[in-house]
Amino acid sequence: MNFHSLYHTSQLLVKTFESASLITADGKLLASTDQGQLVSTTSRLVIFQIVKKYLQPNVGDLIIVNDPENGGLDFRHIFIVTRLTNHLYMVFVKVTPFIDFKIPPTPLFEKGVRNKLIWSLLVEPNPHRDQLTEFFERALHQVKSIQNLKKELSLLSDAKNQAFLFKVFQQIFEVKFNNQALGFVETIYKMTASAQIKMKLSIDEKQNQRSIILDFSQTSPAGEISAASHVVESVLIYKLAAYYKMTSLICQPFLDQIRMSLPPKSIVSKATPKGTKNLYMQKIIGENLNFLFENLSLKSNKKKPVLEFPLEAKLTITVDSDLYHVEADSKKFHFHGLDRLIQSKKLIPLKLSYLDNKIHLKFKIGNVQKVVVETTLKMGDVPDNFLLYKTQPVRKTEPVTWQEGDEFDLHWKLK
Amino acid sequence: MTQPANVPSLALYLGESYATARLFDANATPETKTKTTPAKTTKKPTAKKAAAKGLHFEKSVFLPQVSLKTFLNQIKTAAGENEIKNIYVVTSYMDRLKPFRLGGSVVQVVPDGFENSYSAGHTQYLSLAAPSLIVSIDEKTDEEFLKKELLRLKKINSEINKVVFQLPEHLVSAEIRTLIKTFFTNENFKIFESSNPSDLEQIRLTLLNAGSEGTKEEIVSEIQEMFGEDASIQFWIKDRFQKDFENVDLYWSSSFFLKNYLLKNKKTDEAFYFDLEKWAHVSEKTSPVWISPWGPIRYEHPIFEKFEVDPFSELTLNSVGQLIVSENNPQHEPGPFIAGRSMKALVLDSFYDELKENPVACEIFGQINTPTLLQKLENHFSILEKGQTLEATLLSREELKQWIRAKLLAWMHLRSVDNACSIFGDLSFLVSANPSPFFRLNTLDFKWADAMTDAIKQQGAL
Repeated sequence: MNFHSLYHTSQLLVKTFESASLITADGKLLASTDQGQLVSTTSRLVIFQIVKKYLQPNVGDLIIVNDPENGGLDFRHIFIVTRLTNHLYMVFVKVTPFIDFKIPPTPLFEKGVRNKLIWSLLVEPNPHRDQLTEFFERALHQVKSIQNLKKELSLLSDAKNQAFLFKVFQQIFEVKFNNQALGFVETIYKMTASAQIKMKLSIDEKQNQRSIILDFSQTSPAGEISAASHVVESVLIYKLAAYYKMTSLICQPFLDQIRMSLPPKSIVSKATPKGTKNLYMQKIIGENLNFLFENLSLKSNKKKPVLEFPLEAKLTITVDSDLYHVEADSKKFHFHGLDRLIQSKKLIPLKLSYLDNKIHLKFKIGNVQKVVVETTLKMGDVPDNFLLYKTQPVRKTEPVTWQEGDEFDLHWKLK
Repeated sequence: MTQPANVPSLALYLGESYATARLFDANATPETKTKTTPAKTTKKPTAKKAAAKGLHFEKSVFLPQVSLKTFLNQIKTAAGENEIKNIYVVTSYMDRLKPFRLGGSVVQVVPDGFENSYSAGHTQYLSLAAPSLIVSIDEKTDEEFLKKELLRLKKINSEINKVVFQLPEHLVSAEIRTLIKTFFTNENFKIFESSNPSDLEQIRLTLLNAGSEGTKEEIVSEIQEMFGEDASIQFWIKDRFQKDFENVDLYWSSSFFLKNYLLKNKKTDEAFYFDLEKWAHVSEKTSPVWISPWGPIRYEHPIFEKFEVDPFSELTLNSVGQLIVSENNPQHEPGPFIAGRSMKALVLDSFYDELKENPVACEIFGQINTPTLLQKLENHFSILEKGQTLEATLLSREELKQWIRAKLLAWMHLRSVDNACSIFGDLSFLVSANPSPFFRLNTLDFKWADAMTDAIKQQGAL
């Protein structure tokens, strides 16, 4: 098998999921993909280490965990660790709205069979038992499909093949590294009047040794808003990979080039019990890093760029027990599930207009028990009229509850 | 409906980039093969034998090089004095429209405040109608207003000739609806009315029907011009050949045919299909909503998952000198190197050694065995090999073919139960070339002409 066959097979396996990593038995990252809202490259490695240390999974086990204070993101993002062969593990993330509590590392399936006790405690009592059953059974089915590829798994588990892959990845990275600028840049982002994030980026090459250093020294201690270090590191790695055009080549050799220094218990290294600000923190950190890249690539006679957060807003709308997302940025506006909400008359459209790049949706809430709306992200200069309730702007980001008959508007302008 | 003797029928498969036709006598259905035939040994019957079996003509062409009109003319010539009045079509021709915005000449008539409602919650999809060709109406709308609006729209596009009404009863009175319909009918517009104008998926379906009308008319008018306005043209729609259909049905004609073929003829509910332009998993499972390039559309359809590598994708070098399969749209025009006119190597070209032995490929790409073409192909791949700068990732044509095949087999294996699956289609032999003990492939016999003739016969149309 040549590099391409090994590499493309590993990509085929990880891309079975939205977010996944293939990890060797000694904890090295072989392949990775992140296509969800939240990036979890480092989080998956942390979870792997925790699960391997405390539970020592067998081939065919599926261990689930979602603890934001121990490697996880939030309650909805379920991390699943499975051992594919003696020398190869997979960690993937699936999202479900039906779990709103913490789950420590828990063996839900053992050698491909349900753990009846765990199932009776976790799934059976859940009001959405059927949906959760489908959710977990689907994960098991996906893992079993991967396990059928015995020849491919055997080749990927082989230490020599793994070493060969790492060697080639290193060579590819060296070429891509040489295509980008070296240098030192820093920035300070004011979270509040008294709290700041300071980021220093240093990219250098000396005697054929490449180094990428991200230093967050002098970042303020954690206050109301913070995120665990693995949440911050995940987005840093992802953005660095994008900078070097290596997002589908994130693996151990790439990680080994990066050194990150995050002061303990600071804004960038303190987990929160529910992880509600993780998305916001990843956006802030990601945009600051993009800004640093722009400065690094700047020619001396060009005007210095100014940090501007691109316009973006996200809502979650819970209609009775169903969750819907609204995503808006400069290029798109997407109300997931809108068609269904209108068909079922849960939302009655009073206006649905998209003209000259302006979107205006106005609804009357139909026959439902309740609607809960939460603004999960606001970046840049989001206009006041983005979300109106009874014609008044909704400024707070905490969940608000509306009733049948209430009217609300969404306004957005694309560039 | 049975046909009189000596009236030939035409079975026409119209793909995105190639077409296959069989002209045969209605009461002498040609033999269909029941065994898998290896690529190298299939031979066409002689003309005399073919005539004895009622086969007038059978041919495949590459559409970028032989237009549909020219192909139909060849068929007509082959028919001689016989008139061709029964044409049966299976198509995936509409796939050509999928990368594009539609509805450049489609007017939307909507209640005020519902302009482009079909896309207001899904702006990232391609548009189904020109956003500026909108008439917003309310209860004050009268004929004078409509006349002014029509003048305004004709200044934007003088060729507008289709209109889509999205007029929910609770927002637009019956009187106004009647006024609008009468007005546009008198102006000779082709009218498309959404059956449920409050349902966004239904609105998109209606807009798609309107936006695809031109392409449908193109196919039908070519056939009618060649064989007469009285020719009976039936398309494969869902589970049979029919004359009555909506344009959206044409997008799924070939997928439904393949699904039906598997279920009825091969008693299997899924398989992997390989032809010149599609490598895909065909399943008997259906989905009620089609996530189309233009947004979700309410349309029950077979789940048809394409492999991520398209046979018509370009092979190119990336910024670090690696040979990759380009992520740009497949290059149907001018096609692969083996078609004879291209300057770009496509995935299909990497399988040259196998394709030059295959009768279907040889018929479609007439120059495939010429020394000049072989030289050009080898020169081009030599350039691609030498352009690769990273030694560890160097790929020769042979190695490229091996990794595409390995990736394809792994993809198929992931989707198969019991470590086995069925494959069919003109190019299925490319996959079965290197059998693996871990994953069994069962090759099903399939040729478009045979399968369509069988379907015509089973339907009792002969």
